Amino acid sequence: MTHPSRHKRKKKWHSLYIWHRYVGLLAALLTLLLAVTGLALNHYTALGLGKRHIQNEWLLDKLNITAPATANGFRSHGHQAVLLEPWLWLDNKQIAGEYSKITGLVSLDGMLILSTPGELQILTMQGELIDRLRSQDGLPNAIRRIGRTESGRLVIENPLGQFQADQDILNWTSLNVDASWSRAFAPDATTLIQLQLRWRHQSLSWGRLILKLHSGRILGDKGVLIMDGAAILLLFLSVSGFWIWLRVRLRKNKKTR
Amino acid sequence: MVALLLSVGNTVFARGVYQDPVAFVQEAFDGKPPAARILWLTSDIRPVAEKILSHKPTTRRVRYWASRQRSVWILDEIGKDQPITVGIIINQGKLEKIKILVFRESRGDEVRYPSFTDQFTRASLTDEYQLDQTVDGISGATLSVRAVKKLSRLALYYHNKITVSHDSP
Repeated sequence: MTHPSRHKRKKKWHSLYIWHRYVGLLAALLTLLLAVTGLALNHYTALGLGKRHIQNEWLLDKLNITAPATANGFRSHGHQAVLLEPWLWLDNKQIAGEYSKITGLVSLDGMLILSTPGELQILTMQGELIDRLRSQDGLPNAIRRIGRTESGRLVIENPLGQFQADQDILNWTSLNVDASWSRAFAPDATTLIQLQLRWRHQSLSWGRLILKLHSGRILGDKGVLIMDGAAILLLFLSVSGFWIWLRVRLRKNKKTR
Repeated sequence: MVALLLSVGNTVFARGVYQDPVAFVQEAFDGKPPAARILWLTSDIRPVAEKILSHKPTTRRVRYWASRQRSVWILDEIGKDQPITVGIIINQGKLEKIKILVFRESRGDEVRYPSFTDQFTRASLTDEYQLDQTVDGISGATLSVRAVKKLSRLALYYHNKITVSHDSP
């Protein structure tokens, strides 16, 4: 007959085994997810995860990737610039960078001038960048609108007044002139739908998705708690595993003595 | 914890505007800069600029200020992720001064110290579009060093392409 305290200890010991086993099973799934996503993130650049975007409509719907409902744009001589925040398209070509507002588009001497409150971009008719002007280049700040004079000079308006550019669009002179100002327009439904589709297809990179999976943020705050739980389970497993190993070893040592 | 705070501090302090580009141009011409001019990157200039930068130039024209044999260039180049704005003065085909004006990267700002930038003084361009004098790198700032070296070579090349006017400032 076994001693009651020894029996108790054995039972306790057995339950630790069982806990270790089931916690291990539970943690295995999350560990697998952490390991696979962690490996992918470690090779983020090599795998091009930041540059490859998710195109699958079903997945994008599930992840609530929704393009802005409205866009605003400007037209000039058969060209149009449309902003679907934060991205900007000139005709069908996307203009590099992120934008929150555009203030005009003017065609001048075979070039297109695109303005935002703090910047002028001089572009070829094909949308290639010729030059970019900012306040550090002497450009008057906070541009409200742009236009062109009858003589073909660029004019901008900001809270301080109107400024006319020289021929090279380098130097500015403060003066009031009659100008034909660039006017905003709302893109038609077909253009808007096409741009919304493009917007969705470049909104979420594989890198961001994997990072969300890794941190659990894909499920919001709950997901983070689940991943915290996984970390706690792993901590428990390492402690219980070590304890089981130590006990077995001590027992063996006792027997050999 | 101290190491963490120091590393965060370094990241924060690395970024900054060290001199307004307009002020750099003003200073270069003792407060009386000439009007800005344009160098168009024509089909003969673009391939060389591309070779120096190891990528296509982002714009098709470059602004500069010149008087007599001196020219001033404000150029941008990406170090790792962000553009570094550099002011460069060339005098008679040799680098007179190079200064980091805006540093936007999170690390590698050691390139702004005179101990680094002074190495460029009096450097000119070889026929292979390389600097004719050695510039020592900085460990931990390799990409920033590379960007500054490229811009110095580019400014020297552009300077050689312009016809510097002999107007007084």
